Amino acid sequence: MVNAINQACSRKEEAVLCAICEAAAIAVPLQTTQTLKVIKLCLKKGKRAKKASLEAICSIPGLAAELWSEIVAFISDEDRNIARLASVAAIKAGLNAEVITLTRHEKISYSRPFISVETTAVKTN
Amino acid sequence: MHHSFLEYFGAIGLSLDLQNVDLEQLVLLPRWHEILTLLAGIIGEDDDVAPVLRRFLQSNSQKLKPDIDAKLLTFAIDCALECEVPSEGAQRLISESIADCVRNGPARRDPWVRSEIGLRLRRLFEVCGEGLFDALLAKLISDPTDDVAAGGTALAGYAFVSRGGLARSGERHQSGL
Repeated sequence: MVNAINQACSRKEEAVLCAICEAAAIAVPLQTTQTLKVIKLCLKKGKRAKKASLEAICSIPGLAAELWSEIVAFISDEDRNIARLASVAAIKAGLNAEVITLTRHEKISYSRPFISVETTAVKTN
Repeated sequence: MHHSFLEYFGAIGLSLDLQNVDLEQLVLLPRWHEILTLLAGIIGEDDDVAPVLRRFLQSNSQKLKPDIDAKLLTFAIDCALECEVPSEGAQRLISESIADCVRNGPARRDPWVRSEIGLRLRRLFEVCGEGLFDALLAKLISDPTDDVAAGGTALAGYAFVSRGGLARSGERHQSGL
């Protein structure tokens, strides 16, 4: 059955893609690589697909952090429901998203103090 | 006498004279539902419950009120779940009825019907194992018609719903989204 859902992920019809997003949002066993790809893909489709995708993003831990830039863009969407769901997703993404969206240079510069503390601790031990 | 005892004795009475009781009419009356559920449990103890479930499902065979179909189907599943393990015949009947409800009935479009059937499928999976119902869902999901495939996918979501997902789906229904 999970195989059948994975195969359905290659379909183009919006109704099917929305149903996949909804199913993945509530059932952990259905959160496969293919269904997660569909959730990301639906952000570029019509309103209905966007809503289904954002609802799934709100439900699946860690997914919002990966799609931070898209979510931020949807916060100012004309459609109130999409903007609301994007806001919820942004709040759920929280600190993880802030860390993930940093550039490589920023990550290195922010982590430097922690690395120096760690090396000092190792030296003293 | 307490109402529960009356219902139980009513169910016993019906089980003794099944052929002459108009089950097709009784199933349309909500006040008889508790008695008919008990009846299904009593029959299921040492006999096949499938013929009774078929009579329940046939009570709207003329399709005068299509919205009743889904209610009868969910009620028939509830009755089957009264048995420790529903008979093979009952499982097959329920499987065929679900397929029909998704292909030609309200489950093709109505998210509420899909959630009601899907959550019961979850319990059927627990009681009967995956075999027959797993094959049913796989068949519906790979259907070439988009509404049917979407219906099958939605049922699969509810059938495998996690605890957090169950709470969220409840919230979604309450907020009307």
